[in-house]
Amino acid sequence: MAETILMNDNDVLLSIRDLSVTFHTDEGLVRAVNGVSYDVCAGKTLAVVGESGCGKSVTALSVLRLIPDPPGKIAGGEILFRGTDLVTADEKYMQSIRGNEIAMIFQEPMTSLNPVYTVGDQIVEAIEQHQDKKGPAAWSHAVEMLKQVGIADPEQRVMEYPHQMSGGMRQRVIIAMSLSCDPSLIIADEPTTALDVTIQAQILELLRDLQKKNNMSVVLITHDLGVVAENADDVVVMYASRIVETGDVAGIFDDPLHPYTQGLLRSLPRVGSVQERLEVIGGTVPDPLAFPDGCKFHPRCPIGSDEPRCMTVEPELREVKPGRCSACWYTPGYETKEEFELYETKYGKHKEISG
Amino acid sequence: MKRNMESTKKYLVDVKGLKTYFPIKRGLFSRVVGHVKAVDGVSFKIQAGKTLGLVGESGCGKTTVGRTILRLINATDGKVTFDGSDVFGLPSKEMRKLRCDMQLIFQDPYSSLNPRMTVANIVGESLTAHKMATGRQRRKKVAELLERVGLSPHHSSRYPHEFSGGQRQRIGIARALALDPKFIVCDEAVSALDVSIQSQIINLLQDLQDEMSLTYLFIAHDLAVVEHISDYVAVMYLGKIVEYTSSRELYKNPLHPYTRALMSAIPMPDPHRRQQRIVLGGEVPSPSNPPSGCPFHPRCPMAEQRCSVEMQELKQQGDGVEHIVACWKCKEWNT
Repeated sequence: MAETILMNDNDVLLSIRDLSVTFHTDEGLVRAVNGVSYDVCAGKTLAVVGESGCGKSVTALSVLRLIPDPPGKIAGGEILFRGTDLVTADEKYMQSIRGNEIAMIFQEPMTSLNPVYTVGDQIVEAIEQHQDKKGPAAWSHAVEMLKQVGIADPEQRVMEYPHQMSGGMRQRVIIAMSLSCDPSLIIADEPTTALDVTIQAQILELLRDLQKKNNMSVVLITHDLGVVAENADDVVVMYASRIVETGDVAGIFDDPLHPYTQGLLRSLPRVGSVQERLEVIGGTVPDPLAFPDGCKFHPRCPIGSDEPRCMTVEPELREVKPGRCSACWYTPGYETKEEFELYETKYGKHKEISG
Repeated sequence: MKRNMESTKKYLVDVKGLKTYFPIKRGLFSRVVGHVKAVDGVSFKIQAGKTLGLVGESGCGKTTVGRTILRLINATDGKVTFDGSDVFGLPSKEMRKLRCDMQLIFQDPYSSLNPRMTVANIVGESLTAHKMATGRQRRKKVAELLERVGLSPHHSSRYPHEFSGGQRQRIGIARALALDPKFIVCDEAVSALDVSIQSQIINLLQDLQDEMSLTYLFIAHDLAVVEHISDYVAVMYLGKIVEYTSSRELYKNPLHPYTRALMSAIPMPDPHRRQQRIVLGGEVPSPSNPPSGCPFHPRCPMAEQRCSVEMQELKQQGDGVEHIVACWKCKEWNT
């Protein structure tokens, strides 16, 4: 199902290299994204998982250069889409990409449609902007798109305003809009978080079907590990502005390497299991204005909370086995031999880890 | 206030035939043209010290049930007995006393705390209002409460914006605990929290239940969370309960087609089990104009002629554990 090796695939559509994004706020400089790199392969789904404030959405918004500047700023790195760097591209080029080659689906179906235009107006706007179709041709294309996303009575619905539709229907309209120009990449930022489970199931199935039919790539940003397990080919786990682990979906769930991913998976209540208490990750998500020194996860980590190296030296993301990367000193295979020896002379024996 | 531990009554909350309708008003003279039947004939009981989970999709009336029981919304019909007294029949003076025993925890930790009040005032407000404690006594009580929910007493002079989402939810819980309640309605209390924080709050709620022998009505849309925390679960659809049983039984043996669809729609955190699911067509109909007969029949994969005419009442299925279902076809499904 998911045999892609994340970092060295030939048909990479989007490649983010060492991206850093900062925000200048009154309280100080916020490093929202810090040295993030990932690849999206053609026709595949990459899920970006993480808690609120970990930088997953900011990374995605930077791809389309939608970060409000000021206060936001892409401080470094490259975003290569089909070989062109989007960070340095001019605004005209970006306009030809946005909504055309790369489309975005936002979380809130209630606020991402304009309430004073009919849904038809809003879909046609994108079509007329990017395609040769104008007027009636564009409108019939819009009706066709609504039909594709499973809206009954599309000829009627295209004339309606967003407030006349339910949440699930609006999300379908947004998907229709984003697909109207045949994009090769869709960035879906929490596309189903605001929806009920039965509607979520409908929307995710729709996205999967359309992805297969049009051979699109999808970047799925979510905090719901269930959604990840069912939809993703590859997974990127983010914590406090950095990537802590990457791998294929089966690998991440069967054999999580980073203590954060392990804790996250263990803390989920699962249907059908009889457990009295949930395991927890203690503490809270760190404040982006005052990230801890060393590994950003160390204050909450079962290994790193009293480990001198974890508290001072931040581990970078390294490949620890084929297709799997982790950013933790204690992931098996992470340290080089020199580092191992250097550590033992400096701090004494490594900590024993059970399990 | 001393808790009456050896309560002879088995059930703390007893809801019978609860109906809450909201009028739809139109025109110049606000003529009532119809009703939104948010809650339409709901009955259940909650045992003291236990948790009842109330599940359903948005708009099914689960929040309205919680608020009507607390008499924050006036009921149209029905009866709620709380610890022996009739909640809707009480004069306001008595009701004020009763309110100490029943509290509410809200979903959104951002909008449910007044940004202009310090934590000490948020948590201690009810102590002052009910003349339970003032001055030093109140400060002491607030400090105790904050410690109990995992915050530290020196947080009490801060304002809500200085806290993270999980910490704010802890403040909301401390506020609910201030009057030593017996019964707490948790309205989507963990839905807005991050995964790693959600498990902390669930554990906290369970610990508090054990320590203070609290009774919970746990309203949520996340079935995995509800299964974990509840002893009994009631599934609601369009203002009606369609299935009620122990949480273990519900997840082992769901009988109503809606419950089955709901359960199969949960994304499982296991990539090897990309299951075939029952994807329901259509959407939840409007409660102002519910379908005839069984409210679920337009979306039900098993519906037949009879379902569109008349709804089956809640009936015990099998002769084992308490398991009541409102469906004509659930027996056939089972065999």
